[in-house]
Amino acid sequence: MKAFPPYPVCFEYSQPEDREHVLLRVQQTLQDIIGKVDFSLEVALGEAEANAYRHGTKVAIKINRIGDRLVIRVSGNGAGFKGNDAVATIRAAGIKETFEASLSNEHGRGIPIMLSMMDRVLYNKRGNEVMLIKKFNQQKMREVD
Amino acid sequence: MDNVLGDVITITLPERFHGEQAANIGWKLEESIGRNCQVVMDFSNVKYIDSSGLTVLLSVNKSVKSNEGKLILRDMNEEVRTFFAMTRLNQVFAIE
Repeated sequence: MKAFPPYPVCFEYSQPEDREHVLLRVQQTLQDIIGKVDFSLEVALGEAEANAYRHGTKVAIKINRIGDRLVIRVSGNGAGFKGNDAVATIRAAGIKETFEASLSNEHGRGIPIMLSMMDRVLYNKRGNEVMLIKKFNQQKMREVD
Repeated sequence: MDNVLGDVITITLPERFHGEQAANIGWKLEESIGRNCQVVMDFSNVKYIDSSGLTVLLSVNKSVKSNEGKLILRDMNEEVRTFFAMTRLNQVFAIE
């Protein structure tokens, strides 16, 4: 069984050329933790990371495990936005309805995608960090050293 | 571009279709789109796509349609197909 460093497992980059390499390491770590490729988790994380990258120059990803829950925090050094308001608006309108209403829009799917794929999506007050939480079958998740 | 045959353009997408790489593919493709052109995007290698990939596809679709052409998305794996259904974009694209 592969040994892990203690949680949280942290990654960050501040140079665009490091981005792809860091993302591959993050994905490998997630696959090691949950024992498989999880498309939903990778896409939700990808959306969060892309938002942070779009608005800042430095991105940090922290992966934590609390019992059967995987908790991932993605933060950037951008100005932030009212993320929880955006989440509340989409939840009020309905996620499916939000997708239906924006079929021809080229942008604006990131948050509804995260909401569809994760159990919880929560922004910090400044709106420059998002916390993604997903529950997994604990038996299948690898133990931490 | 994999293949340009008459007015049919076939392109095989990479394993990860997102971000700048996807945008570059989209820009190159849009330069090649002609009148009544049919564009076939082969998804057989795609294991990851996110909203940035969808943005590129929607933009290509718009260009193809404004040229009275057709965009076909082909050979998606089950997860990617489900992703299109989830975002309701299976109503927008011709998926085979």
